[in-house]
Amino acid sequence: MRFLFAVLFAFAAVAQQPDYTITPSRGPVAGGTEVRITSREDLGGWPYALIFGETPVPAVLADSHTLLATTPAHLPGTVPVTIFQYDFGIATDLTFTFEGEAEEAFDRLLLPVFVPPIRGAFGSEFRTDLRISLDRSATARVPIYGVMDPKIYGANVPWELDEDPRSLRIEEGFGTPGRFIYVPKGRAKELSMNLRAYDVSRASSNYGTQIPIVPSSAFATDGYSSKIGIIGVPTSPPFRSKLRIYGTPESGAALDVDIEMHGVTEMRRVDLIPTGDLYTPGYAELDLPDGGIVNVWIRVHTPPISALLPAPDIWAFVSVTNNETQHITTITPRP
Amino acid sequence: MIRTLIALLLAALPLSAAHIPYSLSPASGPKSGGTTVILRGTFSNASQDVLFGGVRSPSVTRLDEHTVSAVAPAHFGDAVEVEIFERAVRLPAELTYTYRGDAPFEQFERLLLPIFLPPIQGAFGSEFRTYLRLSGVEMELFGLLPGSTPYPIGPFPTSAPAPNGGTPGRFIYAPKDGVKTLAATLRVADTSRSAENFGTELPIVRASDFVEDVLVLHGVPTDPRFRNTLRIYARDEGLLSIHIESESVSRQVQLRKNDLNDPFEPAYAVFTDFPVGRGELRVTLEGPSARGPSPPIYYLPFWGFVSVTNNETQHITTITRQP
Repeated sequence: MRFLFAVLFAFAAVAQQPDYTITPSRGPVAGGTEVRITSREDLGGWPYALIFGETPVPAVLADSHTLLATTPAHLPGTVPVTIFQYDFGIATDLTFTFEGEAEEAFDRLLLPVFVPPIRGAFGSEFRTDLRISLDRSATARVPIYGVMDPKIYGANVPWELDEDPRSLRIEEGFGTPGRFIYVPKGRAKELSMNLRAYDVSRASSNYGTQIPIVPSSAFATDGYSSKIGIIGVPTSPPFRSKLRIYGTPESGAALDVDIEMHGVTEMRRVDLIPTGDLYTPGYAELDLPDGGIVNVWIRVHTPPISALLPAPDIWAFVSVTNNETQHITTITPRP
Repeated sequence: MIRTLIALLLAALPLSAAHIPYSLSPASGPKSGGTTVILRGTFSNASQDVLFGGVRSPSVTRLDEHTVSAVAPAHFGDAVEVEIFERAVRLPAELTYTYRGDAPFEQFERLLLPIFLPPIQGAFGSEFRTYLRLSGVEMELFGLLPGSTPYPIGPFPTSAPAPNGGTPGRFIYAPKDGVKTLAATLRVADTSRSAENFGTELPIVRASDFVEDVLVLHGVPTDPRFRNTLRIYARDEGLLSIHIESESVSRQVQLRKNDLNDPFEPAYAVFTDFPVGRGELRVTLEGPSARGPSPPIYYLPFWGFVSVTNNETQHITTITRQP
C-alpha cells in the first residue's frame, strides 16, 4: 500500500512538474536580460534559438537540460517563448514580459496617412504606398513593429528586414488614418522609407503626393507649452483644406487651434483622446474655413480628462485637395 | 569776469557732451560673435538697441551717459554698419565693425532649400515659382538676401523674396536658439495651373538629414509620361555614385559650386538620364565613404531627391528618403 502511494505521489509530482521553466520571466523593453530555460527532457546537442514573440535570439546549451539566451529589445507586453531547435519550433507554454516604455528602446515614427483604399469624389480612389528598405550600412536585421496588420498577424508582430528580404512594400495600409511604427532606437537611420498617397484613377496625370514620415523629434514636446505653426494654407474654392493633428497615444489634451486670416484670428478647440494603443495616435481633424490664405497655430490647452495626465506630444499638417482634380498638396510645420 | 567765464563753461558742458563723437572699441572681432564692444558717445537714460549689420545685439548695457557696452552677435558679414537706437530713434553714429575669421557655422543651424529660384518658364506654358513663408520668434536668417544681409523674421508670417538667380538650391542659416520656433513652408507651383493644384511642398532639409554613405530613393517611375530629375546637394564639392536598380553599372556625378567660399551656395549635381519603361525603380546614391577604403579618405555629407513631373499636367511629386 505504501509503495502504491509512493508511486502515485511520484507520478503526480512528475505530472505537475512543467516541461520547461524560465528565469527570470520579466525584463526591460531594451532587452539584454540573460534568461535560463530548463527542460525536464534532455535537450540534445542541436543548435538552438529562442523566439520571444516573433523575435529570435541565439541560445547556448549550458548543460543537457539548460539553455541560456539574452532577450532582444521588444515592445512592452507579454509574449510567448518558443524554443527553436535546428529547424522546428517547440511550444513551451513559457512567457516573458517586457516591461517599461516603448520609447526607452525604440524610435517611434508616425505614418500620418496609412489607410486602406478609399473611394473619393469624382471616381477617385486613394491609396497609400509604404516602402521600406534596409541600407547596406545596416549591421544586423532590423525589426519594424507596426507594419504588420494586427487583424491578420496579431499585435506586436514585427517585420524583420535582413539580408533577405531587404525591402518591404505595403500598398494597403491599416491606420486610422495614422499609425505609429517602431524601430529599435538609433536604427531608423539604417532604413530608407517612403510613403506616398495617390489617386489610382488619375495615375496617368500625376504620381501622387509624398507624405512625410515623422520622427518623434519632429513632434512638439513642450507639454502644455507646445505650439505648432502651419503657415500659408489656401482655403479657397476649388480647394478643401483639412488640418490633421496627431498626438502620442498615452495621453490626451484639448487643443486650441488659432486660425488667422486677413489679420483676424478665430479660435477652435479640438480634443485629442488617448488611445492606449501603442500603434494608434490620438487624432483630430478640422476643416479649415474658406476665405483666403490662413496661418494656423495649434497649442495645447488642457487635458480633456484629467489634469494629472501629461500633455501629449503633438504634430500636425494640412492636406489641400483640389475638388476637381483631387490633387493633394501637403503643408507641414517645417523644418 | 569770473562769473561770466563760469557761466560760459557751464553752458558749454552739455554742448561738449552732446558733441562727443561716436566711436567703438574694439572695432573688430570673430564672426562667431561674443565680443563685448564699448560704444562711446552721448546716450540718454532710455534703453539702447544696438544692431551689428542688421542683427540685434543679444546684450546691451548703458554704463554711463557716454558709454554703452554691446555684445557683438554672430554674423556672416565682413565689415558691417553698427546702428544705435534709443526709443526707436536712430542715433547719428556712423560706425563700422569688422567681422573676422571663419563663417560662424557653430552658432547657426544650416537648412537647405532644395529649390529656391526666380520664376521659370517651362513646357506647355507653365511658369514655376517657389514660395517660402516663414515665421518664428524674432530672429535674423542668413542666406535669403544677397550677400550676408540678414533677413529678419518674427511671429507674423512673411513671404521671403525670391532670389534673382543662382543655382537651384540655397543654404540658409537660422540661429540655433531660434530654429525650434521656426515655422516655414517651401512650395513650388505652376502659376499657369493654380486653379488645378496648389503645387508641391518641398522639404526644408536640416544638416542632420544629410548622409555620408548611402541614400536610397524608392519607387522612381520610368513611365514615359513622367520625367525624373535627381538633384543632389552637399556643402562641399565631391564625387558621388548613382546606382539605378535595373542597371549593373554605377554612374558617377560631380557636385560643383561656382564659388567655393560661398556658404550659401550648395555644391550641386543634377541627373536626368533615367531608363524608360522599367517599372518603378530604386535609386541608390553612394558617397565616397560608402565603397572606399576603410577608414574613408574623406566624408562628403550629401542629400538628394527625385522630382517626378507629369509631362502633360506638369504636376510634380517629390521622392525623398524618409524619415
